[in-house]
Amino acid sequence: MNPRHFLLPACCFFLAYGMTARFQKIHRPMPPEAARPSSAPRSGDSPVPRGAAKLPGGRLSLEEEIAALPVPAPDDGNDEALARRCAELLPTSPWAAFRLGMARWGFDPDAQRAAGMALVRADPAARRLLSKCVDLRSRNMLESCLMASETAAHPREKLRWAEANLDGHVRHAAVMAGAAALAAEDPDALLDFALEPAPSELTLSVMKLALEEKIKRDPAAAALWIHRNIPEVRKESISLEIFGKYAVTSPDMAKALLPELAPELREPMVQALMEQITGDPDDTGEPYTRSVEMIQGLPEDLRIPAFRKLIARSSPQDNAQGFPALLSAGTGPGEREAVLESLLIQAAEDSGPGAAVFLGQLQTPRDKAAASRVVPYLTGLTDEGRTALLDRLK
Amino acid sequence: MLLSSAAGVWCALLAGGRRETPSEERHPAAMMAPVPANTLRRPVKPEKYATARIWIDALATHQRVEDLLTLTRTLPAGEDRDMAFRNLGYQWLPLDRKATMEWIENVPEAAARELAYGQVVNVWAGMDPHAASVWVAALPDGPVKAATAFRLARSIQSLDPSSALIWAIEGREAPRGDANLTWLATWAGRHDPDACLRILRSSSLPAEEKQTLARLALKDWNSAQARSGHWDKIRSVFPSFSSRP
Repeated sequence: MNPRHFLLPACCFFLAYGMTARFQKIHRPMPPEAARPSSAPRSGDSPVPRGAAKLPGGRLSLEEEIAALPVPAPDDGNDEALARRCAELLPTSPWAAFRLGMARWGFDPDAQRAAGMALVRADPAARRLLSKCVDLRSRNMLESCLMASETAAHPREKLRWAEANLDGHVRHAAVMAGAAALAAEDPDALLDFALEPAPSELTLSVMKLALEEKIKRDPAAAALWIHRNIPEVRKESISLEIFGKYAVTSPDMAKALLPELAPELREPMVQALMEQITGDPDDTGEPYTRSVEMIQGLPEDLRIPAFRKLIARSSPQDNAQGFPALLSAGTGPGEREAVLESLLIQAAEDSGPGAAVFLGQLQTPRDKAAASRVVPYLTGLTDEGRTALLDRLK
Repeated sequence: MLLSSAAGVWCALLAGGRRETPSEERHPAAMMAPVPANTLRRPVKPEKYATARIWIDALATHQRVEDLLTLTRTLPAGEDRDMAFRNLGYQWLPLDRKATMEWIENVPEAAARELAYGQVVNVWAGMDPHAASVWVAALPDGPVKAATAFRLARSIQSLDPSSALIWAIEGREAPRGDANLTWLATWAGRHDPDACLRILRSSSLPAEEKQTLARLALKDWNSAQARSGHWDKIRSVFPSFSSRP
């Protein structure tokens, strides 16, 4: 056989093999040095390229700096040294700060997010750096920052897209960033947006953002929106959150809003106002007495729920001490009975001295009758406990 | 000659196309976006971590998904590996749902799959309760579905107590499923006693169990109404299921 007959097939073979090897990445098993804990990164898994230049003045390169940082203890939430160095690098080199977070764990995700956001702001082409992220967490963090930046810049165009097309942490970051931007610009548009998707924790968070802005501009409309649109199961907690912040920034306007509220929203507002009194650092008065005074200033139909709230959120000891003040303040129809009922509910669940102190203070048949009314509904007591309590109230 | 040239090209493509593939590459984890090979480390518990549990906990805290994945394949069966499965499902899903779901469906052991499913559904229900519910509904009937339904019920209770009760009924065969059902019946009753009673009435639960749960739910509702002074909203705690459809 003529050897020339093999020449063309052989050439074709080597040419095709060469092309395949060139364009297809050949994966090899991990080298032995890769099998080591991630908490001890060396140049192999450092995001810093090998041979990173020494900095002028003999300072350590980023790679050496990473290697020299102490490894955090297992129960450390943060690596403080790393976070400090990251903050130093952030203004001048956000990518270096971000790489620090990637290279070593024990790193505060908030600090890495801050580095990621600074990086995205400083470098319009930061997306290319995704391929340099060495693990899923860092890549996801950078992707979140990229999408958050994009959505925040164009909330009207990108918010719906982000909600419908992204997933996981990236979706959450993008939607919340876009929502914050749109809330400042047009809270009504954001409220409309929040009603479109099926209810979820994310849509509820978006609603809260929008409502915090809306209540500053039009408190009555914000309250009406809460009444109409927040799911029943979360209405109390969300309204308390929104009213709570409003009561701190604008206590007088919050109080003025009370009569306009739907009945189901009045209790959360009353509670928010009481919490504002309790949490006010400039108030030197006694919070319990101040709360009682505030209740006396409320419209008549709001005083009973306000008394109930005050009693439920105060300790049995505070209630026992404030008992005379409560009874003297509760002069309207049904107020005295409401105070007694609420005190008994708390006293029956209190294993301390509260119950005995309270029951000892009930003297008149009217007071005892009011307290007896509650006893059958106290699910925290056994049947024997309820009978014993009723006997004491006879 | 042309024929032999073509054969040469074919052989070359076959030879060149064969890749040396480490075991990690065949695993669904490889479907995550490309990660430089040197980061696919095999985690070794450093000495400073007193136990494997602390090490796993530290990996989870810092979302070291790649390391947790390797641990689930290298640890012997036992509590430590179970913990790694749980943490991996929880941490991986919000980073890459597709890869997580592909991994989870290929977990060979039912017990390990159940652990991972439970954590996955926890996170997923927080992100998208509807999609998570559709996924659980499509699981084949059996203990894994019951355990996952149990988890789903707990995850959506603060958003939708009535649906949570329906899932709790579905998951009552799971360990602690009865206690879960009792809690969710009272929780649902506290928010909407009519819906709660409707769900209990139309369920496949034994009649005696329906009665017990309905009483508990109404007692809780009544107690909440007493606290608010809404005496007119107090309900009878002895509803009759037999007299209604």
